[in-house]
Amino acid sequence: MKHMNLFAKTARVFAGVGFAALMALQPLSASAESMAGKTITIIHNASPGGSTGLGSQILANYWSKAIEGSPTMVVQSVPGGALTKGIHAAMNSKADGTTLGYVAWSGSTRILDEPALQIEFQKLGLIGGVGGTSQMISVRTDTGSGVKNAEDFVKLGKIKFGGYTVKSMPSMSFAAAFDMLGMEWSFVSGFFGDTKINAALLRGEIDAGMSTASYFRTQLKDGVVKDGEVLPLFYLGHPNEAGTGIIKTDAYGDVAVSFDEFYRNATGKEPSGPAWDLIKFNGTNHEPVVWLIFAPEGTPADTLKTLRDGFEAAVTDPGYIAEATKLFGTAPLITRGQGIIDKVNDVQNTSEEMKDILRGYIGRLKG
Amino acid sequence: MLETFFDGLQLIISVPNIYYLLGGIALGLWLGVVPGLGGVTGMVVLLPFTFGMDPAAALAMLLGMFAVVATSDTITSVMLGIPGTIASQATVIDGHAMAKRGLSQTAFGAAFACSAFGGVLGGLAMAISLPIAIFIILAFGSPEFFLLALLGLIMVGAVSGNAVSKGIAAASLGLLLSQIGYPIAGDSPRYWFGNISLLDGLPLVPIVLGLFGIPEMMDLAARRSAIAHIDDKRAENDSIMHGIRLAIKHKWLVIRCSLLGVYIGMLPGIGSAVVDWLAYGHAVQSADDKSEFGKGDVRGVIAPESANNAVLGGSLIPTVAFGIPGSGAMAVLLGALTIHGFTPGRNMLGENLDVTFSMVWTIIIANIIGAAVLMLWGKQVAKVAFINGNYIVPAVIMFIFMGSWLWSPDMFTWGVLLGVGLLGYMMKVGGWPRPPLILGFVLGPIMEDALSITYQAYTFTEVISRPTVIVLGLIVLGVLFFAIRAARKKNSDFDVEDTEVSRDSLYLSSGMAIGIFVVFAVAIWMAVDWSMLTKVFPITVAIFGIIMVALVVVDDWGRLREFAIARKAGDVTAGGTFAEFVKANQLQVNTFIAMFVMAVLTPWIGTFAAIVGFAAVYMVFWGKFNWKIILIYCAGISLVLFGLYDQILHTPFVPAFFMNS
Repeated sequence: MKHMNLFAKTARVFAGVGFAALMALQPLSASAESMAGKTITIIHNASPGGSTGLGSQILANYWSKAIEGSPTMVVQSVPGGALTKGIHAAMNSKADGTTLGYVAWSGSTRILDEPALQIEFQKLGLIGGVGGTSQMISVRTDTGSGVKNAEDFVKLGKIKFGGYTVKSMPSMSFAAAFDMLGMEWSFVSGFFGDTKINAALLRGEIDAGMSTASYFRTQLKDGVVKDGEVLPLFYLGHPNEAGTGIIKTDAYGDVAVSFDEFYRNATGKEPSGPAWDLIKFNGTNHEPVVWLIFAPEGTPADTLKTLRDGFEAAVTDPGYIAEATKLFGTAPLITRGQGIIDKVNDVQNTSEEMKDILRGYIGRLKG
Repeated sequence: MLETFFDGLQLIISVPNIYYLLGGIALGLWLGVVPGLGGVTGMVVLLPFTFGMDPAAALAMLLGMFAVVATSDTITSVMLGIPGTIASQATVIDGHAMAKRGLSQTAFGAAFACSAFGGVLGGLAMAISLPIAIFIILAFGSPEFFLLALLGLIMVGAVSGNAVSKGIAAASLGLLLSQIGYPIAGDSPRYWFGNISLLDGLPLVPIVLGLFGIPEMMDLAARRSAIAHIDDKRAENDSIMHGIRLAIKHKWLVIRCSLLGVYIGMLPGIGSAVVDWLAYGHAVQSADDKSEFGKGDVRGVIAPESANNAVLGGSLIPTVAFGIPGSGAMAVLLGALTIHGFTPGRNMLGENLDVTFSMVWTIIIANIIGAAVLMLWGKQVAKVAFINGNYIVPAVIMFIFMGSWLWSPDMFTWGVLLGVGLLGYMMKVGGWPRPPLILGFVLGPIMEDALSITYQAYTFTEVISRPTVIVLGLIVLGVLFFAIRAARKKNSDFDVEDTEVSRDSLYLSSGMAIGIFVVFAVAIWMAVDWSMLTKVFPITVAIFGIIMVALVVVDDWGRLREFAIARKAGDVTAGGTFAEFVKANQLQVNTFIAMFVMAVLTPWIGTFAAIVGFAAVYMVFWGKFNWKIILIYCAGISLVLFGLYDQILHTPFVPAFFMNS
């Protein structure tokens, strides 16, 4: 048959498409009654392999076992859009509990975004938060005429430090800390990740660089710090209840002190003022909840309760804590229940005064 | 040290580690062949399975898989003209041309032999370089990265053939496209037009697959024949062994490009996306006779394939020894090392040196086994060049679309894929070389990041007094001098694109130049009020681009005038007719329209039905196959979508509208 008539062609197309439609139903159908036999997709918003991706995978391994019916949990990376694509993918998915978000939410700086980029996190079915990593800063010991201790550092009077972006909370917080110490500073942006900051520090492109606790413990402490090439200075973190200092952590051992202690030693004064407020804002709102776990808005209350109960059981499992500690370098700080709802509301309701302080620092970091 | 080196071998060949290594190799060979997948996908899929495994077995499987992806990705580049992975982009130019001439086995033989050599050299270089690597890595700061990227950009001349102004204009467009999204030193995104999908810029995978894959499939669908469509007497000698002999004949090129791969791989952030172009450019520039490049010169296969396998050994050095990952895959590997209790850094060169050496052995063994398997299998694969292209098109289009979707699951991604695909086809018809656009797109962020950090971190005097800057600066000037001389003497008189020049192809080319001119002008207009570091790069690129597109228009109009003179002299067929032009491109455009309809229908009927439906329509109207074949083919497509993309890769499909309520 050289020329097929239109009817025969159409019939063949319909056969193929009909077959396709039948097949299409297979992978996408799921029971709505029970979590047993369901597949829950956890969307994270970073590239695969980093602490966001691996952290979500570890949680998924324990969470799936902690939910009644032991549903299958798969982790999916939706990076891009300055972390917004993954958030949107999770929040716009079907609100039946089969798609959840485990996202680096950057809530404390996202509130400064233009309206088109704002996200109403408080409307989501909030389940929990994972965080607790703190940031510390180290300086090259050959900076200026040499830095052997905290006193030498402050005497430098001027420092060139490197960080992620002009809009990252740690960059703003360390700039605020240098202001409080009365030091001039310049900022080099564009080092996306601890490894790149460390490489720039070793190459001498910057005098000082920030790092997370886990990176400090796994990479710097027994390497360049031990060899005397780099001197750890101070760390930032969660403020105490009175707001007079930072809660001490053993993540850095005895080689670094909290900023408030460093500041008192250097100036003899108690920390205060707008720069200190910014540091406390970082410690209160950024570091405790780096990753937000949520279900889309409109998820049925029963399903949400099942997911929250499962989350509670998973994050208190010693196996999860051990694996997460290995990954983050320090035990994860978990926020759950009403705590996560309050935290998100606090961030979303940040005062205009604090927003102005943050905007001021962004402007100065841009140079 | 030597004892520990062989302890590493013992670790790898012991049971069950060797089985995991072989499993990884098998997976890697397969991942490389499928467009849009590749090593990072494999790492991500495998990583969760390794959590409970013995660390040595886990690393053997992950690295074994990753090491051979750059070997098997050659198959798609050669057979289909679509880069299997980012690392094999440059292989497309001459590799696919060889397949069209019936020389695919020769291309495979040369490519696999070079890949094995490059991979083994990379592994050995890793072992030897560990003690001195820190000096190399620390010597290269942001100013050096900028110069290296600039060196890569100068290769535009080498990958443009005889269309230098079009090549530079395409590279400028690539550079400008790379400027979309958040800049390195700013807090507001550029050129994002309120679309969040543009905040991080355009995704690389859809750009590469769109630029090369879509036009090739449009052409193959229109030809209604097999891939090999040119009678070539050389095809009589086509064999894997012939390819190996050619690789041996060009041994110094293999060695030079392998070393280039190792040392570029060692520099974080440059990596495999660039090295194959650098190697290809080097092959063209160092060749006495350049006339066969673009038409199927085996040196155009040897150079990139030697370099891209050697990159892994180089990129493992900063990852393992200093915890500085040079690429996305290395970032995943770094995560794997952490999960398995290893601390990348100095103790990998001390107490865990045997594990580090086991990685070296993994690379060496995997590259040898991978190349050997492919050489044995290559003869069978080469037969694909002679089967009916209508069997190939729907399946490859599925892999192109799903491969893009996998990296960025969003209808916008398919929009980019189709948009760039159409642009790629127009470039092909208009005689614009496509490789420079990719080169510009890949190098843009590297150059801007390096420039921005250099500006923020160094004074001018500090930059020009760095010995490495002086050496690299001289190399850049030397290469630029030879590139300009070659362009002026028309030494590179070869076509990168297989374009039939006609009056209408020149009109199309000029129309594109004017369109791109407008894009550059708008880009400048939008950027003028931005901060210094945010605007300097896009404005510079756009100004340069405007000059180049003006030259393209002048060049095209000069050639149009030649046709006009010939017509006046009585040759009424000079430059062809519009009807001939339409006829030559109509079937290709029909295929594009079918793909476009598939994408438009997806939000309504869902990903699954859209792709299988496209395959069915294609098999009926283009292939004219019978019922049985159509059903079996659609079942196969469905099975891949379900088994691979849904069940294994957990790709989020767009559900049909009636399933979304």
